[in-house]
Amino acid sequence: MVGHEIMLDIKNLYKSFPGVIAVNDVSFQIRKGEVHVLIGENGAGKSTLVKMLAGIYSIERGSLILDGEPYAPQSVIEARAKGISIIHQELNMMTNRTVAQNVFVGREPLKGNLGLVDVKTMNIECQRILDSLQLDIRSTTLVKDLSIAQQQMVELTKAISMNNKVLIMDEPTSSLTSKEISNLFQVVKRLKSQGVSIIYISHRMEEIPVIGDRVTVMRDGCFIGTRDVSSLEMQELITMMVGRKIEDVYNREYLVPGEEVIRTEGLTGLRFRNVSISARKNEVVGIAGLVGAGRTEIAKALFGYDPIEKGRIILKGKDIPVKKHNPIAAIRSGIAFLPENRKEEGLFLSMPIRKNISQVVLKRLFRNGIIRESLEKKIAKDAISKMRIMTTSDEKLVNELSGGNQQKVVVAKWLTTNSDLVIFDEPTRGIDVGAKSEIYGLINEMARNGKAVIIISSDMPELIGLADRIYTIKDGEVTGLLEHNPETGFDQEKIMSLIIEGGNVEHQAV
Amino acid sequence: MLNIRLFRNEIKRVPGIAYGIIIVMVIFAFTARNFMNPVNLENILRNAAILLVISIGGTMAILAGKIDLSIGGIATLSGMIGGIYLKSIPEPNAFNVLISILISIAVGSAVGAFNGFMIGYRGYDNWLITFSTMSIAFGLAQTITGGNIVSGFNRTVRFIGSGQIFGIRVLLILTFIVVGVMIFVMHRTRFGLHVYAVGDSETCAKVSGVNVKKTLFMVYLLSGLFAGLCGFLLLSKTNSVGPTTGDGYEFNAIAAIIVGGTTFDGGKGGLGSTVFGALFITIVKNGLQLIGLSVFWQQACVGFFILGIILVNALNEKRAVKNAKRRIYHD
Repeated sequence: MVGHEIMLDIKNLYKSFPGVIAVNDVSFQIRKGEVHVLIGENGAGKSTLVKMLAGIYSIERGSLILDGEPYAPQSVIEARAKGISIIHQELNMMTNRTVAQNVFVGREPLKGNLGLVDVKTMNIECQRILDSLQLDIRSTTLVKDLSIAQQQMVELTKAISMNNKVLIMDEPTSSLTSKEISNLFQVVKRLKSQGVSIIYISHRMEEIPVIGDRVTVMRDGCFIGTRDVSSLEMQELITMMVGRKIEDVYNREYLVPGEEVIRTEGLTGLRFRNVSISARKNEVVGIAGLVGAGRTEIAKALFGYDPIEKGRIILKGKDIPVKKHNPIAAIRSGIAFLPENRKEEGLFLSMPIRKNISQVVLKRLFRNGIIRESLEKKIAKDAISKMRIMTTSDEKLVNELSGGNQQKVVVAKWLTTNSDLVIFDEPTRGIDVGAKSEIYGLINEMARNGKAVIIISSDMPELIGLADRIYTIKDGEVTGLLEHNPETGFDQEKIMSLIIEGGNVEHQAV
Repeated sequence: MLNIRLFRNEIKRVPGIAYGIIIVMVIFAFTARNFMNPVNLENILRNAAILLVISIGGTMAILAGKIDLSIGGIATLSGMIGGIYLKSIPEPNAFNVLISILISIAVGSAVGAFNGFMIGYRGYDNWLITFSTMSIAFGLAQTITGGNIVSGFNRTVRFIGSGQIFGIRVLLILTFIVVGVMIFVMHRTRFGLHVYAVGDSETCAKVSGVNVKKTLFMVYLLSGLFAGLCGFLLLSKTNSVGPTTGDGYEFNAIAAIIVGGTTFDGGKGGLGSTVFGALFITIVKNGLQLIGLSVFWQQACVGFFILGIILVNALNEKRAVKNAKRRIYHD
C-alpha cells in the first residue's frame, strides 16, 4: 500500500428517493491503492452511494474530493474521464455485439478524422487486455455466446481498460465460480499494486479477509463505521451490519410440519435438471443458489410460467400435467408466486393499488359480467390495512409508492387468493428494514396458518433466519438439503460451499 | 474489396432469405409468363433499387430499436417539391436536375431532422412522431398541387431514373454506390457502431458514454435524407409524381427490412440483409402481377409470403436462443 494518501474523500453524501432516504449523511475516505470493502444488508444504501460516485445518480447534498480536486460528476462519461468507473451488479451488455465492441463502446479507437473506427486495433487491444487477465475469451466472439460468468468478466475487462483512479465493483463475484473468483482477486491485487483504489461491495463475509484492506459498514442508508481488516472481529462486523440480534428480525416459530403440499420428482426444464424438492404445511423451505443458478426458473416452472420438459409435480397428492402446466391452472390449484422483479412482473405500475390487489381474484368480483366495485373496494381495503400499506387511498397509483410498500401490494394481492403454496422470489430486495420485518412477520404467519412457503433469496441471513429446510442449487441442479438445527441453526459455510462448489460435497450433505 | 467483405459478413448471418428468393424465382419461372425475360428482370432490379434506397433509413431506425413510418410521406413530399421546381423551368438542364435533387434531399432531411429532434432530443415516442409526420407530409404534398399529378419531364430529368451508362441503368449504379457506402458507414464508423449499440441496449449505450440522443437524431436525419432522394428517383423513373406516389412505401420498406432479417428487437441485422429483403418483396409483387392475379389477391399473397418468411426467421431464432441457453447452463 502506498502510505495513507487519500484518493477519494466522501463528505456528507445524501440522497433520497420518494418515500425513502437511500443515503443519509455518509462520510468516509478511500485511500490510494487500497481495496475498500463496502458491506451492509440489502437496501443499506451501498449501491446508491456508489452510483453517485460513478455519476449515474446526481448528488443531492454533500461533496467529493478526488485526488485533491473537487469532484461532482454530472454523467457517467464525466466520472470516467476523471477516473472513476463502475462494474455493475446486473449485467448490462449488448448481447448481439462482439466482446471488443462491448468493451470499447462509446470510445472506439478511430483512424483518421472521418469517424472511421479502427476495428483491427480495437480487436487486438481488447484481446491484449483479455489475455493479460488470463481470460479464455476471444475479442471477436458475440457476447450472447458467452456464459454468464464470462459476460461478467467482459464487464470487468471494460472497466479495467479505462485508466481508473477508483474502480467500483458492485458484487462482482455473485455469479462466479471459485476458480473465476480467484482469477478476479489476482486482477484486483494487480490493479491495487498499480495504485488504483477499489471499492468492493460484497455480501460474502468470507471474502473480506481475503481481498480487503479496510471495510466500511452501512446500514439503513447511514455510515456505521470503518475498520482495518487486519484487526477485524467477524462478530463485531455482523453486529454493525445488523444492528440487532438476528433472531429478533425473523422471530420465527418452528412448527411441526404437516402433510406434504407439493413435491417434484426429476423436474427438468431449460435451466434446471432433475430437481426433486418438497414443501409441507406449516413449513418454510429456502432455496439457496447464486444468481443465474436456476432458482427463479424452478419457481417459475412450479407456477407454470416456464416450460417443463420432464419430471413430475405432485400437488396435494395429485399429479399436475406438467406439459400443460400454466399460471392460470397454478393459481386455481392454490399456488401463489411473488416474482423477483416486482416492477416488471408483479405489478401494474400505473394502475391504482385497488386494481393491483384485485387482479388475481377478478373472477370472483364479476356478476353478470359487471364488476362489483364495492366488493373490490372492500377486498382492497382489508388487504391494505392487513398489510399496513402506507397510503392515503386505495386509488393511489402503485408507482407513487416506495419499494417496501410496492412489495406489500404484491403480497396483498396474493393474500386475497388464500393459496396453499406461496413462492417468494427475493421477497425483500430493495426494500427498507421496517417493511422487511413486516414481510418476515407475514411469512411466519402464513406458515402458522398451515401454508407451505418457498423462499428464494440471495440474502443468506434471511434464508437462514426463516427456513425450516434449505435446498442448495448450483448450475440448475440440487446439490444439497440442510435442515434447521434448533441449537445451531444452519451451517452457513456448508451452504456456501454447496452453492459455489456444488457436487464435491454433495454426499456428505444429503 | 472491403465492401464486398462487409457484405459477405452480413449475408453469412441471414442465409434464409437468399433461399427464399431462389424458391420464389423458380416458382415464377414456371408459372409466370415472361418472368425470366431480361426486360422483366431488369424491371425487378430497378423497382428493388428504389425500394432499397427508401429502406436504408428504415433499416437504420429499426436497427436502433425504433421505427420510421414517415418515409413514404417524405418521399412523396420531397419528390413533389423537386418536381414543381423542375416544372417551373421550361427546359431543365443537368444543373437544374442537380438542384432538384438537392431540394428533394433538403426537404427530406428537414422532416427527418424534425423527427430526430422530437424523438432523440425530446424523447417523444417514435411511433407517434413519425406517424404524425407521415400524415403531415402526405397532406402537404396534396395541398401543394391541389391533389394533381406533376408529370411530363424531359430526358435530362429522366436520365437518372431510366437512363443508361455503358448499357447499365444509372439507377442501379447509383443505388449500388449509395448502399455500399452506407453498409461501410454502418460497420466501420463510430456512428454506425453506435446505431447498433443503441438498438441492442439503450441503457448500456448510455452508461458507456454513447451520445444516444445525437445518434437517434442522425438516424432520423439520414432516414429523411434517403427518403428525399427516393422521392426524386421515383419522379425520374416514373416521369411523374403525385400525392400518392410514395403511398405504401413505408410498409413495403418495413416488409423488406423484416423479411431480410433485421428484427424489431434492435441491434440485429443490417443493410446487407435489407438488399435481399427488397429483392424478395419486389420479385413476389412482380411475379404475382405477371401471373395475372387480381390486385386484391396480390396484396394478400404478398402478406402470406411475408408471414412465411417471418415464421421461418422466428423459428430459427428460437432454436438459436434455446441452444445458447443450453450451452451456457448445461456445459
